[in-house]
Amino acid sequence: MTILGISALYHDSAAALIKDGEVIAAAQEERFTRKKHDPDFPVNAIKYCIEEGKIGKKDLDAVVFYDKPIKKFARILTTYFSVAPKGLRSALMAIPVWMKVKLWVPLIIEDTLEKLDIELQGEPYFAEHHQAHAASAFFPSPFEKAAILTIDGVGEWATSTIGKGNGNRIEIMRELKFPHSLGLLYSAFTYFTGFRVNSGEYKLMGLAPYGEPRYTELIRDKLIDLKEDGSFRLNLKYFGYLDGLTMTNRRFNKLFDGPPRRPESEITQREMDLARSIQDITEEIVLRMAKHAARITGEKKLCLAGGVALNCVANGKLHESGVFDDIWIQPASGDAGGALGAAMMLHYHIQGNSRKPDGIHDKMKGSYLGPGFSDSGLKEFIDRSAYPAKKITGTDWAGTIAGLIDKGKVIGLFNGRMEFGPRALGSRSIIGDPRSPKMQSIMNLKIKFRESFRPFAPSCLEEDVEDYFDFKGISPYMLLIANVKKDRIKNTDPNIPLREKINQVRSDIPAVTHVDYTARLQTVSNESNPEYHSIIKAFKELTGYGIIINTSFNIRGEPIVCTPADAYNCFMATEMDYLVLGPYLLDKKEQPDRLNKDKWKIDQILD
Amino acid sequence: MLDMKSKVKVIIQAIILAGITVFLFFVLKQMVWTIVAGTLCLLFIVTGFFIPKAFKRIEAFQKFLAKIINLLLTWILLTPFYYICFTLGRLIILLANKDPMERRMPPEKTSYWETYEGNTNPDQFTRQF
Ligand SMILES: [Fe+2]
Repeated sequence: MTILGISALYHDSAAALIKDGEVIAAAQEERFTRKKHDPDFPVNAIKYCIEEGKIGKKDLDAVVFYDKPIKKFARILTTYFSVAPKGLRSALMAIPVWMKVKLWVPLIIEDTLEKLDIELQGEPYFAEHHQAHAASAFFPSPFEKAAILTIDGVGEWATSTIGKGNGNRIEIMRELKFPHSLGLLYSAFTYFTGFRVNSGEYKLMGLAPYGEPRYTELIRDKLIDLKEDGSFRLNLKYFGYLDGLTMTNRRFNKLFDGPPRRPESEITQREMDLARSIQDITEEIVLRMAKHAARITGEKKLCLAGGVALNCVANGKLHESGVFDDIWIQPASGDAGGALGAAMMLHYHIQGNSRKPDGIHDKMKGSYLGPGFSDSGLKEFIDRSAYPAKKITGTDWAGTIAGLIDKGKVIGLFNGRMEFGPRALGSRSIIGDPRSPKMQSIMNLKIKFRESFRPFAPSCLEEDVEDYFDFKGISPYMLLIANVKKDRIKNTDPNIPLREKINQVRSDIPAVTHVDYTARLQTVSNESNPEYHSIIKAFKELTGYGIIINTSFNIRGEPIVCTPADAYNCFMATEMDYLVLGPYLLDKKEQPDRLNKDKWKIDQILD
Repeated sequence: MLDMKSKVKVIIQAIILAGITVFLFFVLKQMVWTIVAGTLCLLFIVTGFFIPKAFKRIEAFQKFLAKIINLLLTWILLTPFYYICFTLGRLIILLANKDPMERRMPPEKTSYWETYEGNTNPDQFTRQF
């Protein structure tokens, strides 16, 4: 049974293909169109899935869409009914798009498949948005039984759900409904602090440790009525998303000492304090929800998904709290993962196919589910433009790369299949030396062209994780934070300005130690990515450190690279020193046109 | 040079414009508009066949104009509809003392979790609602 799952028309459109329950391919549309968070129907991602799965004309058994368009539209109309005569501007933007595009999903599916010469057997299916999230969290997890928590902005009506999974079935038990949404609350603060909604949430989280929680009480008093069990209602007087085009309104400005920060203007202490305050509230809500989920399901394990499950700080605290014995988080927790969840929902829950988890391994294949390129394909790319490159094979490969990292070089690593989900996990990564005190600002300003406060994440040998972090278990998808071990920490002065704080040497792995002495951790095993593991291992043999910097292979505002051409362009547009294309090593100094900045310029869209 | 498909497009547009010019001149006897339509017709033929770059610019402008007109028309139609239909709907909701957005925060409530309303029966998966 071959099933195609699709998520589209909101943000982060994606497609996923499963065959008899096995995930064959999954990718986000943005990687192909080079438009970050591309919401358009994922024609290219579908095409890739069809090709990767070698799907013939009559081979596709079913297509599942990740939400119910009519139910969602009804929610939008209900919102206007509850705010009119306000809300006109929002309605003028939204209603025409719904009438022209979003209400015609079956036709768009049919049309897309026809263009790809695929004959769909039967009508498309439609999962509910949070069912798709819940399915993406539970079915690929290693657990036979588990509680399921999904938290996001909004689907049709639900904004958070609690459920449980058992074998090949999931049952959703409780829900919180729009407009009372933790995702939207977090996004409101993202907007207010001058970052972009649906993409800047990560920055807000990164900014939080620089601030003090001085608005926490105010948020509790005025914005939210939070109950012991994690459920809440928002005081909608302060928000603009029901009747306007902005997330917050004038009352919100008054409450938080002035208007929203203008994007790209200087970040002040207020934004840092706001970030810290909303982060603290978010962590508390997630923890309370998780405790409630444990109570009502009686389960010892938890599966998490939904956009809020990408908040690795909250996840880390939840992991540390011990509310559950074990947690598994879908690496593509945002709406992209809904494509996979929708397909799995049909395969397991609806069709009743058996599911046999082993309790240890998940079914995500390390999340390396996107396009991969053979060595011959890479050679062809290099030869076509006659780029100077050296082929390295065998054990030399990892050793050479590790040696370059040790010399302080920054390397673009393009190897294997592209990751599904927002994190680069060693296939489309930029890697460097975590011991270097200057590496964080070098990478932020010269390579990624992004805000200097943003921390970098470490990839650490799974077997060595306890040498560096107070952390037990695994974090293969970079979705948990952990505290850097006390004996590695160097005391720093907390009363200095932000810019100086960034450059403080906080530990013996300063480039991956955030100001609060935490790190967003990826553990790498020999099983999930042997080649990436071998690089870190070789680095350990050279330096004694089984840990390197890993940041996504892109510049600010650009989606992670997908093809060798994207990778080469990004390599040339930045001050990266080396590019690894599978077995080929390209040295920047040897590349033609390296000084022609205009040729390699990537249009930077502010994110 | 324009491709064959584009050339056919130029010819069709020129014929339509020529028709309009004739109609304006002979039937409506509108001299000014006849000159406008005739000039446009000529412009299409000249740019279409001899200055393809300029023709592509004109085409892009046409598309942009069509988009704006489409948007304006939608807004003109939707605005009164919104005020009448949605405001009336809101009044009815208010009179019925209902609030679909559940803005109230009753102090006696100990939890806002609701029992999940969706269902996971197989037939529900074929529906868009
Ligand atoms: Fe979602």
